[in-house]
Amino acid sequence: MRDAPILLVEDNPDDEALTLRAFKRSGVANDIEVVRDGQEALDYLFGNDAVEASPIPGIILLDLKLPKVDGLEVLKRVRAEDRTKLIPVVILTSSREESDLIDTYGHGANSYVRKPVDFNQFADSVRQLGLYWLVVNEPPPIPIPNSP
Amino acid sequence: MNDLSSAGRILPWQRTGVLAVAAVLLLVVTVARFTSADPTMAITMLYLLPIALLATEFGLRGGVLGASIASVLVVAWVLLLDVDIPTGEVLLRCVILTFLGTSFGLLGDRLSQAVVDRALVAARTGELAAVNKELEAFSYSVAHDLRAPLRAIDGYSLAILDDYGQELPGGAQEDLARVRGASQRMSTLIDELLGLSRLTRRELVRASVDLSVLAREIADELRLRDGQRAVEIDIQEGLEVNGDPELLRLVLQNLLENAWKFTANTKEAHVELARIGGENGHATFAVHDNGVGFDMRYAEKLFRPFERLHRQEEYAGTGVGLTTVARVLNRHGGKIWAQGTPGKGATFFFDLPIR
Repeated sequence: MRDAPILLVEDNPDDEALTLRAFKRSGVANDIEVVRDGQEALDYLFGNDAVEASPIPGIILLDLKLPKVDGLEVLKRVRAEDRTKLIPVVILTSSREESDLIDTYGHGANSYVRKPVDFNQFADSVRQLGLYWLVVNEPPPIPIPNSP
Repeated sequence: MNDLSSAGRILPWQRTGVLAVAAVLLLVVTVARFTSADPTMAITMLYLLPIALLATEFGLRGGVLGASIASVLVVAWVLLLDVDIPTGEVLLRCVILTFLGTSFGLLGDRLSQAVVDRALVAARTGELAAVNKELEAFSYSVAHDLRAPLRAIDGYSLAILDDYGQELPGGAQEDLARVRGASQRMSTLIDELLGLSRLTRRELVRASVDLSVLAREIADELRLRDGQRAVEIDIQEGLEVNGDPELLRLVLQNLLENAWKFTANTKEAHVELARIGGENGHATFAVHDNGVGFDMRYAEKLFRPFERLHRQEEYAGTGVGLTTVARVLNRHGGKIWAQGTPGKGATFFFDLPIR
């Protein structure tokens, strides 16, 4: 877990760069894989005709408003598949609309973080997030491939 | 608007259908009543069907017209075919036909009006739901999309400061700090705007609420948050009203926070919440402070969103608080008004239903 990659699902390039910057600043050393829409996230996790599924990430940071397949749909797929259903998923998004909170927690999100506008606060959130999910938290056992 | 006008127009089959059923029912009853005694009466009553149809199409006028034509036909039928019916009986039938025709006409008018009304209500409800949905989608998009660029503005300003701060002249650093301040203020404004729109859409949950308890909690929070200030807060006991506890907390929070804020430069700051009267199931309350006050010329502006009577440097704020208060009271069937004197203080009066 400590060296499993972080999967960042983020369509906004500004936010992507800021999140990477915040991780760098917070000293999280894990690799960060970035995918830029919901379909890319699904392809990354489950593979498609052209590519194999990638190794299971230690944590998924998921934006909700995404092109093609939205964040909630990605979350549902992640929770529906044996291979990915235990991966901690942290919703990292702009709003704290009640409906989003209910929907995502309802479909098994582990955490919901609203990105603050103030970058210092944002960096602090990311630092705490990385510290908690990658260091403090005891991760779920990684399922052995092809086991029933 | 197109939807509304088309929904208001009743379709011919609706109108005809409704009244044809009424006519047939009446006909069946009449026929059953009279066939055994006098078969010609049933034939007379058959005229009711076209009368009913005319009445459904043209309302009262149609009913009367139909009844008149039917009466003429009855008379003609008796005279021409030489049916053996006494004149009194013929007249009676004409009177019955006219009476029923008029009744059908009135019924037709009433029913078509009811159909129109119902269609209008349905159309309005649908339209309102659509507007509400659109509003929800709008604020959702505002919440998500307007904040993202702000995050970039703040984040990259800070990135410049972090990465190149040493090389930047002092003026440039100050400018960037202003950029950051502005983006954060705008983020607060967006949040407050969204809060305001959510408030309007939210459903009221009514319960018995003790304003005194709420006010004391808020006063304690204020004292805790701002320990250096010594503000005397008097809260009358047992101020019970009926309303949404969460929203009424918002009302008191805004009013007391304002009183707290605008007495910042007062020597012996004093804030008071009391019931000052009421009638017709309403109670009137007042939140009074001896703070900076305001000029009554601007009293109107107080409750408009994003309007402020003070500059940001004097007293911080976004201008949403009192708008929120006014909306909450409005939704409870209450209202708010204010009195103030510059330099002497302000009093905010509000009334709320007790039951």
